[in-house]
Amino acid sequence: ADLTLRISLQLPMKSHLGQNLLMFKNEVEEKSNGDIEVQIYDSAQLYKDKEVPAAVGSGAIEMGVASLTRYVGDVPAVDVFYQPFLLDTEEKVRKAVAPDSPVRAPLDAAIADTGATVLWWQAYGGSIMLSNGGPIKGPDGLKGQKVRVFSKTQGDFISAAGGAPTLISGSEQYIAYQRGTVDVGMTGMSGVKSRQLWEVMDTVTTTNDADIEFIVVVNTEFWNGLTDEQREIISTAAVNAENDVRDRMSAIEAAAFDEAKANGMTIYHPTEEEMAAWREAAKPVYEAFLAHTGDLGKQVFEAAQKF
Amino acid sequence: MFDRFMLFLAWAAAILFVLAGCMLTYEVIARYFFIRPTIWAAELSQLCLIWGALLGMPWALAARRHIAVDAVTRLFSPTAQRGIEIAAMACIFAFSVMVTYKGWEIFYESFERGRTSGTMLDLPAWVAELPVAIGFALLAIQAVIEIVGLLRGKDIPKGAHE
Amino acid sequence: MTILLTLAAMFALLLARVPVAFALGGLGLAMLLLGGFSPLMAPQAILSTLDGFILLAVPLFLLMSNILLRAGVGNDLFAAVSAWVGHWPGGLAVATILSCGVFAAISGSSVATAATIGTVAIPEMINRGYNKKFVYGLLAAGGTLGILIPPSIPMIIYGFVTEESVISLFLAGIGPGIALLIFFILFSMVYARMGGQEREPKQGWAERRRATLKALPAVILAVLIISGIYSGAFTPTEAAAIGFAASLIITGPIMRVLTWDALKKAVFDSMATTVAIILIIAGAKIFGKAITLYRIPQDISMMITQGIDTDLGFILVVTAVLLVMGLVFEALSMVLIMTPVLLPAALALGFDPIWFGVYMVIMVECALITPPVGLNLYVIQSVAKARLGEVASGVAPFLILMFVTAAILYVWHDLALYIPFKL
Ligand code: NA
Ligand code: NA
Repeated sequence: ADLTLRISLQLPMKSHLGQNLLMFKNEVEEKSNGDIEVQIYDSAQLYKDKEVPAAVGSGAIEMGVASLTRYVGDVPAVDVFYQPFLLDTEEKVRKAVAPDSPVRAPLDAAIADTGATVLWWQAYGGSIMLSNGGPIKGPDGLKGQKVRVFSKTQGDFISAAGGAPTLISGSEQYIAYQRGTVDVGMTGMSGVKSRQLWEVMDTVTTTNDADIEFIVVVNTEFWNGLTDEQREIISTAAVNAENDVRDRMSAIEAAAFDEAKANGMTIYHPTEEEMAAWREAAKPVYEAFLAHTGDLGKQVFEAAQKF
Repeated sequence: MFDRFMLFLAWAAAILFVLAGCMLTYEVIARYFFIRPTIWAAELSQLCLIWGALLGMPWALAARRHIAVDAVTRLFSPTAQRGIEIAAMACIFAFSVMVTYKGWEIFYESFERGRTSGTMLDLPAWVAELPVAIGFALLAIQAVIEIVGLLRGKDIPKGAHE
Repeated sequence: MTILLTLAAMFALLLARVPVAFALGGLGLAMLLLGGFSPLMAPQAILSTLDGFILLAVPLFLLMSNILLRAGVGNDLFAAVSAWVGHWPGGLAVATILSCGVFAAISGSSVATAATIGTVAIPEMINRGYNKKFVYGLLAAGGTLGILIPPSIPMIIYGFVTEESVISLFLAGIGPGIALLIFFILFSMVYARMGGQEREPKQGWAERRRATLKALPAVILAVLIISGIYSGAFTPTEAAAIGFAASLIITGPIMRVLTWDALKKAVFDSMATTVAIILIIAGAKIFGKAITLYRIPQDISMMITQGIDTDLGFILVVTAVLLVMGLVFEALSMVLIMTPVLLPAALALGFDPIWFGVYMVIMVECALITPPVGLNLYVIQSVAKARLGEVASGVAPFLILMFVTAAILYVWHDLALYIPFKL
C-alpha cells in the first residue's frame, strides 16, 4: 500500500464502534484498490481513549477514536452533550449531530484548532442508571447514594442531586456493583451488554441524562498532505460509516434492552413528574456549564435547547 | 553538590508518596463515613505519583536502584565491567535526551494551548506533563556524571536487589 | 526476522546491565525511530503509565509492608504462630510458611515477604537443627506467596495492562494461594518426620496468649485488607491507602514499636522500589507500543493460534516459554512483555483473562526462585549469608509443588475463579 492509516480505538473489535471502523476499512481499501491500508489498533493497544486527542493532534498517530467529551480539556463546550436531559430524545440527538447543525459544526471547527480534523461521529447511545432493588425515581432516589460516574459533568450533576459521585473505571464496574462499592451506576446500554452487568444489577432507569458520542479524528497536517483523490475516498467512506452506525444505533440499543430484560433486568422509564424533578435538579449544572464555557458554550447550548 | 540535590529530590518523592497515602485515606473516610467524596484526593494523589516517580529517578540511577541484570557482567574483568557500564550509561543518556526533548514538546503544546485535564478538578494539563521533561533532563545529567565518574576510576556502585 | 533481531537487541541491552526500564524504553524508542513512527510516543507512554490510578496502590502497599518490616512485625508474627503450631512435626517449618501466608496478605511483594519472615525464621530453624538447604528453599518459596495471596503488585500490573479488574484478580489468587500454602505445610511435616527432626516443646496457654497479643496488629491488618477487598468496601488503591494509614497508626501511637528512624527508612525504601517498578512499567509500555506497531504480538498470537489448537498444548507452550524466560528475566518485565503477546491467543482459545492472570502469576513465582536470576534467591542469599547454589538447590521440591498447583489450576479453573465469581 502507498499509504497507511493507523487508527487507535479504546474498545474491542467486537464492539459496535469496532465493527463500524471495520466497515470504513473495507470500503477504503476496496475503493483505493489496496493503495490505502487501514490498520485498526483496538482495545487501547496504542492509546487509551483520554490520550487520543493529544496523540492525533500531535501527529503521533494518523487517526483515533475518542469519546467526544475527551476533548473537554481543549474545547470545554463539547460537554454540551453531557448536559443532563438536554438532548434526551433520538430526534433531538439527530438534529444536534447532523454535520452542519448549529451544535456540531462549531464544535468540529473548535476541535480543528487542536490539529485534528473530525472525520465522522459514531453514535453510542444514551446514558442510563443502574440500581438494585428498584428504579431511581427522580433525584431524591440519589440522596446519600454512592454513584459511579464517568465524567466531570456527571459528577457535578450527581452532587447537585445529593448523591456522592465516584469515578470508577469501566473495568472495575462489574465488581464495584457486585460488592456494593457504589450503589448506583451511570453507563451506556452497550456497556451493560458487553460487561454483562445484569449479573450484578437488576434495574435500569432510562434517564437518558447524557448523549454519548464518539468521534473519529485524523491529524490535520497528515490529512492536508493527502491527494484529493485519497481524501475523497476517505471522506465518502466516513460519511457512509457515520450514517450506518447512526441508523443502527436505536436497533443496537433496543437489542441491548431486550437482552437485559431476558436476563432478568427491569427497565424503568421515568414518569413526566420525575422527569420534571430531574430537569430541576440539573439546573445548577447548566449554569456552571454556561459560566465556564464562554461564547461557544452559550452558542451551542442555546442551539441545542431549540431542538 | 548535584548528588545532594538528587538526594533532596528523592526525599521529596518519598514524601509525595506518603502525601498520596494520606489524601487517599482521607478520601475513603470521607466517602464511607460521611458520604462526601472529595473531588481532589484522587487527582492530587495521582500528581504525587507522577512527580514522585520522575523526581526520584535520577537518584535511583546514582544509587543503582533501578533493576538491572548483572548475571553476565559480573563474570567479566573489572576493566571490562567498567567499559560495559559506561556503554550502559551512554544508552541511558541518549534515551533521556530524546525523552526530554519530546516530553518538553508535549508540555509546551499543552501550556501554550491552555489545555486542561477535563477531570473533576480541571487542572492545567501541563502540571502533569512538565515533570517528564524535568525528570529526564536530570537523568541525562546524572548519566553524564556517572560516565565521568567511571572514567575517573570510581567504583561501580553495587546497588540493591528489589 | 524482526522478532529475532528485536529479541537479540533486548538481550544484548539487558545483559550489558542497562537497567530493565531503560533497556525496554530505549529499544522501544529506537524501534519507533527506525520504523518511521513518531518518537512522541515515548513520553506519551511514560505519561500514560504514570496516570494510572491503580498504580498508586504500588507505593502504598510498599509503604505498608515496609513500615511493618521496620517495626519488627516479622518477629512477633513468627513467635505467635510458633506458639500455636511449633510442637507439630516440622513445627517451625509450618510456622514459617503460615507466617509467610499472613504476611503475604499484607504485602504485595514476594521479596518483602521472604525478607521479613526470613530474617527471623532462618536463624531460628538452623539453630534447631533443620537442614540448611531445606530452610533456604522453604523461605525462598514461601516468600513467593506474597504475590499470589492478595494484595499483589504483579496482579496490579497485569490488571493495569489488560484493563481487567484488579479486585477480581486479587480474589482469584486466594484459592491457589491457600492450596500452595497447604502443600508447603504438608511437605514440611513429611520432610521433618522422615528426617527425624526433633519436635519443639508445646507452649502453654499463657505464652500463646502473650505471643498472639503481640502479633495481633499484623493479623488485624491482614484481615482488614482481605475483608475490605472482598466486601467491596475499598478499591485496590483505597485498600492500599487504608493499609498504609492503619500500619502507621498501629505501629506508631498504639504499639509504640516504630521509631522515627525506622519510619524514615521505610518511607525512603518504598520510594526507591516504587520508582524502579513504575519506570519498568513505563519502559515496557514504550516497548509494547513499538512492537505493536511492528505487529510483532499480533504475528506471534497468530502463529500460536494457527499452530496450536488444544488448550493443553497452549498452556504447555505458555508454561515452557515463561519458565525459560523466568530463568533470566525479572518478574515484572515478564508480565509486562509477555501479557500482550500471550493474552490475545489465550482469549481466542476461550481462556478466562482473570484465570490466565493467576496462572501467569504462578509462573512468575517460579521465575523468582529459579537461578541464575531469581530475586527471592538473592534475598535469602543475603539474609542468610549463604551461597546462591545452596539456596537454589533447596528450592527444587517447592518448585515441583508449584507445578502441581499449576496443574490443578489448569484442570480445575474454579480453584481460582470460585471465590471472585461464584461465592
Ligand atoms: Na500479597
Ligand atoms: Na529465575
